[in-house]
Amino acid sequence: MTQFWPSRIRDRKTQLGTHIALAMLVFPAIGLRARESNQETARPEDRGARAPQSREPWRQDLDRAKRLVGEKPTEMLVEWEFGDLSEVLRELLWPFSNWIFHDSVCPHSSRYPVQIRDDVALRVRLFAAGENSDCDIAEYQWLANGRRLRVVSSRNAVRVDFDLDQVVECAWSHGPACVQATRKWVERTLKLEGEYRGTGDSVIKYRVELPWPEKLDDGVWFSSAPDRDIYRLPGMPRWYERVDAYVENGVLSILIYKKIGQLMGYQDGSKWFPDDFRAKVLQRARELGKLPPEDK
Amino acid sequence: MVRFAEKIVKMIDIPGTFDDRYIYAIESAPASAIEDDPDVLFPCCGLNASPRVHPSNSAWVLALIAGGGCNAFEATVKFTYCGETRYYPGGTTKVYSQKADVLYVFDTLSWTINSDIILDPPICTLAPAPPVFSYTPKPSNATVPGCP
Repeated sequence: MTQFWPSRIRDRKTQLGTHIALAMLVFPAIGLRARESNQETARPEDRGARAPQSREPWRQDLDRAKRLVGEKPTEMLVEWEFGDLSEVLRELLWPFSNWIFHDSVCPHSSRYPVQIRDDVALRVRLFAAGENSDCDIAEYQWLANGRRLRVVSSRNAVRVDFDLDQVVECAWSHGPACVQATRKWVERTLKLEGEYRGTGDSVIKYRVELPWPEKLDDGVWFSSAPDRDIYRLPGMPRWYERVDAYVENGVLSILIYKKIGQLMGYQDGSKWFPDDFRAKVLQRARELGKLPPEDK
Repeated sequence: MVRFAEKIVKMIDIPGTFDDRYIYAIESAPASAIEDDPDVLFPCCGLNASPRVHPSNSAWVLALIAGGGCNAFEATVKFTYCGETRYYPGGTTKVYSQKADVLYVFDTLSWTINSDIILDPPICTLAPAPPVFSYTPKPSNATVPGCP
């Protein structure tokens, strides 16, 4: 995999395994962190930090979570005008953006939410699932606070990518200065602290506490709630109850789950796009030579 | 959806209290509804918060089945006015005066194969066992509260 790494990482001859081991030693108490201030009935296991019982189930969760997003090589994605997206995709972007991003980061106009701001230079690319496998994927890129943000969404999860190449402090080392600057970027982007409004006068204050490592080298991963089963999360509006992070190829990815609270588990990711819209995306992909021609 | 409905009801100034409630049941009392308040409960909710594992097969977990999907609960609007309560299950045209009736939006309470051991994409798979309970016959809709 080394050949895919940015040269600055390659030159340092980073020893991945050593860094993972170090990170686990330095940060052993990675526990449940999404706290709700008005919880009078919080269960004992939710009070304070707890270390995961073993590393493997967590890693297994993260591997599954990464598959929920269903990454595809960028050359497989098809450019798409935001205004030509299916209604479902456009509508889903807004509430979800408002939940997870600070207002200044949301790509749409705060005054006219149906409009995308010109200054963010939004770019949308899509991948439509085939007949037998894969996830429908929507990739959004836009400028936020002077930096380019990449968001990859499937039906079941969304990944927000923070390219460390855009952080000056990460140019020579992914050590403490890089971590500090990246953390600031993440916190200015995502609503890691806020309020969830339930019905009536119910307001739940939350704070997602990610146990940041000492270095953001490839292979590092951390979670706000590693012992919360991703298959049992309560639903999109309460996305803050588990947030995962990992670094691959010099990019810090934050994983957020789009689970439907009522369901046990996730939905079929290959059926996110409406059928007629998927057909359009597949047709465009064929026209661009990204897929073989359809058998007649 | 329940929060959206609440805001509409408030806009048109309908009196009464309006609560978000999740209804589910467990295998030992499949026709008795358990009511969760999702704004209070953490972790949340229903069979997701407290998965029920089959006593002799740890790979089987309990689920409320509707249209082939595995559900942890039914989200309802609980509306109370002048001492009368009605439950409006989300995504349906049903209205019930008893919370146990809400369970009848489901087909069955059944054991399913634990999604933890299924590879992606996660699929709701029934375990090879008869349903714990079948929610038939369906109750009829209750009347809207008739108080002044």
